[in-house]
Amino acid sequence: MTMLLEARDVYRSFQVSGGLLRPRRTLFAVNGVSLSVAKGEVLGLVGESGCGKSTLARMLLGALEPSRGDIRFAGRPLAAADRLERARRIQPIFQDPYSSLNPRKTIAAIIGLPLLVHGVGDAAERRRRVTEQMDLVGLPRRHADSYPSQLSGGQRQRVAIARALILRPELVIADEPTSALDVSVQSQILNLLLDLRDELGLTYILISHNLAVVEHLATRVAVMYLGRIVEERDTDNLFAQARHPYSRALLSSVLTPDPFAGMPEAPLGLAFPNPLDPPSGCAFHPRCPAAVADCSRTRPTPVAVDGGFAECLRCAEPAAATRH
Amino acid sequence: MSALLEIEDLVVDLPVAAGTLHAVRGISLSIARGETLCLVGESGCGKSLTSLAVMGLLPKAARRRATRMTLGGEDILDATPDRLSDIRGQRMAMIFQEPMTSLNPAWSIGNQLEEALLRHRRVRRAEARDRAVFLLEKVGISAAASRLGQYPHQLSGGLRQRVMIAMALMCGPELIIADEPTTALDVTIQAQILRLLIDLQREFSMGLLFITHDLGVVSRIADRVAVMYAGEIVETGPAADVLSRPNHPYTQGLLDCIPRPGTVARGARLGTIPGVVPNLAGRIEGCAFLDRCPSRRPHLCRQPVELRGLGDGRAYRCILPPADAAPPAPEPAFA
Ligand SMILES: Nc1ncnc2c1ncn2[C@@H]1O[C@H](COP(=O)(O)OP(=O)(O)OP(=O)(O)O)[C@@H](O)[C@H]1O
Ligand SMILES: Nc1ncnc2c1ncn2[C@@H]1O[C@H](COP(=O)(O)OP(=O)(O)OP(=O)(O)O)[C@@H](O)[C@H]1O
Ligand SMILES: [Mg+2]
Ligand SMILES: [Mg+2]
Repeated sequence: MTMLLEARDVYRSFQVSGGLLRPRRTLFAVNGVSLSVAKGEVLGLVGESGCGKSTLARMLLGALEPSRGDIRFAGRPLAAADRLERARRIQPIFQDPYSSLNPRKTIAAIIGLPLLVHGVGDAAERRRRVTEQMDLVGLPRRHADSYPSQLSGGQRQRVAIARALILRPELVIADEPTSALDVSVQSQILNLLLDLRDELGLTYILISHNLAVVEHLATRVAVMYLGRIVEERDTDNLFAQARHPYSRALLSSVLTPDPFAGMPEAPLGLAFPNPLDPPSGCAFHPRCPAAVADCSRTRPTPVAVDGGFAECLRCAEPAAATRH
Repeated sequence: MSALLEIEDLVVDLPVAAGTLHAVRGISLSIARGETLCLVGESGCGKSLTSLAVMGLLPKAARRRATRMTLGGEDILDATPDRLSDIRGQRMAMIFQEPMTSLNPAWSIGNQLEEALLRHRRVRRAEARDRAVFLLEKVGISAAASRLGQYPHQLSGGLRQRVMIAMALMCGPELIIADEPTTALDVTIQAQILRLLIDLQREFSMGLLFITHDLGVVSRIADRVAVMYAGEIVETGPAADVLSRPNHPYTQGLLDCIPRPGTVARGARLGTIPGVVPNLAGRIEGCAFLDRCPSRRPHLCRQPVELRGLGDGRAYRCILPPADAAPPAPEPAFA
């Protein structure tokens, strides 16, 4: 299988001030991530707030340089492509449909801007493409001359999607595309993303805190913890039996609307990791219910499990590998 | 169970450029001690204004009226501003989505917690301090005494929300109103905060009015649920009943919109509620959900629709028969 996107051992650190009169310190936001995405896949990216999902996404978009490691798109180094070419082939969709649209431009102008920037077609051709795009995402044509403030939240997110897709990108990276929306609007956007995937043969990377959304859309899921992918599995395998203790805690916190289920016991303690001073050994060990002494000393490496891998010493033990 | 909070026919109007916005249009609800009522509905349906009306914290321009509004038998509709401020401190407290709306960035955590008590009760500062430490530990903050000197910006979002909960508990309120307290947090922290809130509510037998638009949260914490649409309650009843056998098409619509692994196949189309909410600045004749309703009968639905009680604690605002009375399925289960 040829990979559309491949990241190998990618790191990204930031220099942050250590506080008054303290020296600046290094924060590893992404700490050695490898992943690959094949054409037509939907890769879900989940994990605790601050674990590095958006930082990774920005690197995969080419909007942020990795400190180390290498990212290839369609077989070529991402950094080698010029900015315009990258933007044509990889497009983001962001969380907030309010702040990502220019309030002083009309809907048609916003959707058509990428065509202008890339010098595609003449005015009439651009107009035609914009109309086509509005039909595609289900925006009534009468909104062409409206302004963002005149649209509902769901319509604004459609505008953002129409703009992202007008150059027919191959890869779309969506960072929390529906978390600012009501469920009734969310379902419209999710249906739209699924339809467009079929119609345009798109590949998605989908970042979300909503695991039901990820389970619904993704074909494969990567779980991040403190800058690393700690488990990556086919969606069915992960949700049937997550192997990394962090993935399990995450899944057990999901509140599906099941009136007879009650509140889950809060699975993780309060020992939030400090990214400036990550724990030794396995970064998850201070909060891990399954940790043994070795976990604080030895850094785990990926272990193959059905449908993917998990990075956990205990997953490597034969006893833990049996299914029940 | 005796009702702790009772609201009858609450109306909130707001002046806007186009005239008057009828944001809350005749809401009645009650909460017993030890009971959790969840208020759900989409953005703009009037959930927050309802809770602010109870707290007496509506925006200045808003006009509020009701037939009755009592807390533990005491009138909170016509109470003097001074008395209301005391009631707010002593008998009911509110937790907001964004903790920084209630935490003062310039004050230490300890100071703010102590003040919450000192303002309303005659106690010595040392006692207030002891209670602050006690409650910080209750909400799961370890080494509480050493946290008192910290400032809000030194805490993570999840910890700040815990401090907010501790602050709401300082005076030992009978009613807690929580307006989307976990919406901004990720799922593991959300689960911790909800667990905590429910445990404390049971321990102190408080009434809890919990506002959310997450039906997953409702199903896990609510005793009863009230579904709001365009300023009205359109369905209410025991949460398990309403979520498993909704009677109102809007409730059904909301449930159909959410991906439900195991129930909805992966990648299958999700339900939608086409259309938009009606403009609340105008007059709404008949059912407010009419234009978006898949089961509408236009000639019948243009009349005002009453909230119909079913006798089992459930009620809904629709002319359709209740879901249970629907025509029998192909194989009648209880023949
Ligand atoms: N420009 C920056 N300078 C300093 N630190 C940063 C910068 N950008 C991100 N970080 C830090 O890097 C870590 C990862 O942040 P990131 O935004 O990627 O997390 P995330 O997984 O997207 O979180 P969320 O779910 O809350 O969006 C965090 O600790 C964050 O504070
Ligand atoms: N201060 C105000 N001035 C004018 N209109 C207001 C004001 N506050 C709220 N509204 C309007 O009143 C209606 C109800 O608002 P409210 O905040 O109660 O909604 P909500 O159900 O809490 O929504 P959300 O889920 O988005 O928080 C909305 O249409 C809102 O725009
Ligand atoms: Mg992010
Ligand atoms: Mg609100």
